[in-house]
Amino acid sequence: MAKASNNFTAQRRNAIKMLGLGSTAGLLGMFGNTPAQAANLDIPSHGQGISSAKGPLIITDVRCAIIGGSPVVRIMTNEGVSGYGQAESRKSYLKPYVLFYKEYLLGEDPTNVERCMMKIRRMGAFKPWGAAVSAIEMALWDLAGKAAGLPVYKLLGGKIRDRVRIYNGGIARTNPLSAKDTGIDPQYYADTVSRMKDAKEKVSIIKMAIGFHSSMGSQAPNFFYGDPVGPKNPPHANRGPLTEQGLKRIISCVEAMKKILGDEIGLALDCGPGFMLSDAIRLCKALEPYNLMWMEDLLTGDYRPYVMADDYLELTRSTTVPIHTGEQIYLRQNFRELIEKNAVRVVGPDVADVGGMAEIKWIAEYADLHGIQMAPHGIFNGLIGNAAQVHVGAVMPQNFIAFEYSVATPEWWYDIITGLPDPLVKNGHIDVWDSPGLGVNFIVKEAKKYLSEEDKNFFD
Amino acid sequence: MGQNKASRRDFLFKSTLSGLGLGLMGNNLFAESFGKENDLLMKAPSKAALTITDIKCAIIGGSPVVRITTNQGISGYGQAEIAKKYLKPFVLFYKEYLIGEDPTNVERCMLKIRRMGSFKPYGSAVSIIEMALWDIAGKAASLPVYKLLGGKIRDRVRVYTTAVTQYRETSGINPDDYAQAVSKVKELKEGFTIIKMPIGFHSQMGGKAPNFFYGDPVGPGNPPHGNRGPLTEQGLKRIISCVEAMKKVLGDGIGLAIDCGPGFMLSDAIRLCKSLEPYNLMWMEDLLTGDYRPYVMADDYLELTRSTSVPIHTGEQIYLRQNFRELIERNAIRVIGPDVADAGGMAEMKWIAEFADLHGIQMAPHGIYDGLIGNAAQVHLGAVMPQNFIAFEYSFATPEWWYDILDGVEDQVVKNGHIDVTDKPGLGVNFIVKEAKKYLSEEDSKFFD
Repeated sequence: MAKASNNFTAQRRNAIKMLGLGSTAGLLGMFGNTPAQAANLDIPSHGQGISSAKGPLIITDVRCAIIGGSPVVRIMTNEGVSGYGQAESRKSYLKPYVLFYKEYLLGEDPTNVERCMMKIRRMGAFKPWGAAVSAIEMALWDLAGKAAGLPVYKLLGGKIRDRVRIYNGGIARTNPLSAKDTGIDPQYYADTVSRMKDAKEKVSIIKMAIGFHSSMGSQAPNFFYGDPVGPKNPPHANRGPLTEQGLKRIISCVEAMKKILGDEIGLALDCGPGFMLSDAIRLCKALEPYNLMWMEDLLTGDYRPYVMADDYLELTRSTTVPIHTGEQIYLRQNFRELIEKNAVRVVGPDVADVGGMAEIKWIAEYADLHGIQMAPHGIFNGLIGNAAQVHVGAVMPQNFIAFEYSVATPEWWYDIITGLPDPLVKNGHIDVWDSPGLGVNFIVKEAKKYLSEEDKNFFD
Repeated sequence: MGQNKASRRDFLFKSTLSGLGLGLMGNNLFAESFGKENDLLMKAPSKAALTITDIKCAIIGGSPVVRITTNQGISGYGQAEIAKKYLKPFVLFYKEYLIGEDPTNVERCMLKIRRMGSFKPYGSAVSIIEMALWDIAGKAASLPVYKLLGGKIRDRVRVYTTAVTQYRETSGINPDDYAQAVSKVKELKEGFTIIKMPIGFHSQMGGKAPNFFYGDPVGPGNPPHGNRGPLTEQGLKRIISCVEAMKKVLGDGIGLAIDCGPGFMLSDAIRLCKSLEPYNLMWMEDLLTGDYRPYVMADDYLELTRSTSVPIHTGEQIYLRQNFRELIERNAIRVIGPDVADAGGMAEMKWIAEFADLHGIQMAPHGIYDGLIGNAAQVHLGAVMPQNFIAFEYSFATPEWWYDILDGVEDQVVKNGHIDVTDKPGLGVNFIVKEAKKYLSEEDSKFFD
């Protein structure tokens, strides 16, 4: 991991060094614009409102490109400002769903984000069908921030922290763990968290997949009372009653990890979905001595289009282990029972699935009103998604634990994006930056290299 | 007035220029430009942090006004109810916690002071400080505050009027009085679409109407609405006949809301609401608690709400979302009316509005005494609240010379019962210092310096 990461870092550093060559004039020169052109650029002063002499800022196009597997939204305006949003890299099919909303947004003022969202929000749903709406919202905030010359966090109430804690949700080598990387025995778990512990990011919280969220369901012998589903399934399809050997396997893997991590680094477990309620209760009780950060998605979650708040309430009341769910949930309305019944202790909405940045902030405050913590999901949201997480992490209340950070997938994403701090992660935190909008932008010349034929006009 | 406008324009012009300067002078990552896009060549943040240098409070014409000053010459203003002339020391109490903070990170500032507030009137100082912080944040960004609260979803905001002036011109206890008062309001050029009137213990009935309730009226020397007790049948019928008289005047073209207490017993409130069902009232407000009572009584309100089709309303005294939790999550109420100058501020109000909306509860915010700065805050808020918003309670200048000392109030004209949303930076109202100074007391004479 270290080697590969250093490689990204070096590349990123190069890009940033190039950018940092002093004056903007120099930069513009390098990339084909002249200082004279730059000086002629009219600086929009939306401050006099959007009813400035120039007329209102309006949306002229909504585009989507799949860049390295990641759906990227670009919202364009009549004044040349664009906003960008990004959805999970696993949703490479998302383009038509993004474009579905285009007709509703053309001609709208993107800086009145909520008015735009009222037009499209109700036409989304549980993951993955809320992702397009969410990525559009992200792009609208990027635009609103750029138009105002403000970092997005200032449009979301102002930051209450200067650095945002992250957790490592499974970045153990160069990329997030894929199903085939996961092991099934204590030694594998010990080795993996050991590497994660030593990584230069110095994270304070590590999350590992166990149970039906790991390969145990399909590869561990006699793990559950059921036959593993075959390969042609979306991930985490196994589900069924746990055997005693399955229970003991999980416990021994957790024990092995805690031996490495001690009480210095928090351990969270991503578990399912797929556990029966009684197994989940027994498992949590058995794991109580390990003071886990949380156990995630035991009953539902991931890509399941339902919440099951009453089942979670049973589980939560049965154990001291903080129960976590929510990455698949779209909108506050679908969090209502979980939160108002105190059915969980931690929620993990994903900014690129839940309905966007303002939505996740609202939910964070809603959770806080009920003593529920926030540990947002986001491992596949890419670098723009990461930037969005930093802005919302800066404004969430003190019930915020950490967000699941995302790395470049593929690695060349670091070469096509500018604006991230370098190094990105210091002592398990990311410093909040002050550049306008989300503060990350495409290096168009570089990014164009990776556009498909179909998307080749994306940056035009 | 003209001078003030000119200086604001000058300020905006300068800030635009400085943005341009930073952009061209190598504020590197903020301002680089690649390819065909010039996304980033926008106003860059100014280098030196904006910090709070002072918090002042003056009582102007009876209204507590807070002024937050900064190291960059921008000031923000907030205003509390005119009835709270004693508020100055409570505002200044928070000063030491805010000096040196960046006012544009409003929430971080509020984290320092929010917990040291309480039910009305003790949340008022915190609330108007928040209002002033948004005014600064908006001015610093050259944006109207509604853009910092998520963006507007409507271009004009409906107001309702409480006919206190017209009511006070009557004896206040008979059907004719009520008919006369609402007739006058109905004819106003503002074209109000919803009128609220005081009845029961919120009106003079408790103190003046014969045999109104089983109890002796409290004497003078009490805060308002001090009467409370079981209603007589004559009292019940008096209220019904007054409502009937008003409905005859208003028909179904203008909504009628009733401000009632507090002071009703639960069983009287249930009987009264049931009796008034045929009149399709907008809402009945504060029957059980509210106004200046430091408690919520959600269970009692739940009983009342479940008993009638009349929308039950409360909340003007409630500070913070936490104290709305039971009312909202149990659907104990159909309409809530937090006051931006008491509930904890503008962002708090917006959050509560969305919280209410999540439960099918409507918003009709209180604010009659919040003055012209408070009114401006209500317009921004009204622009961003979800579709559960009915209207906010319109505030007017008290005394009338307030219209002469503020720039931007020309935007508060009520047309067809609505106020257009302004795009001026911050709250969009600013003191015409030369005029306003005339009304400062000796003690406050340095307020604008």
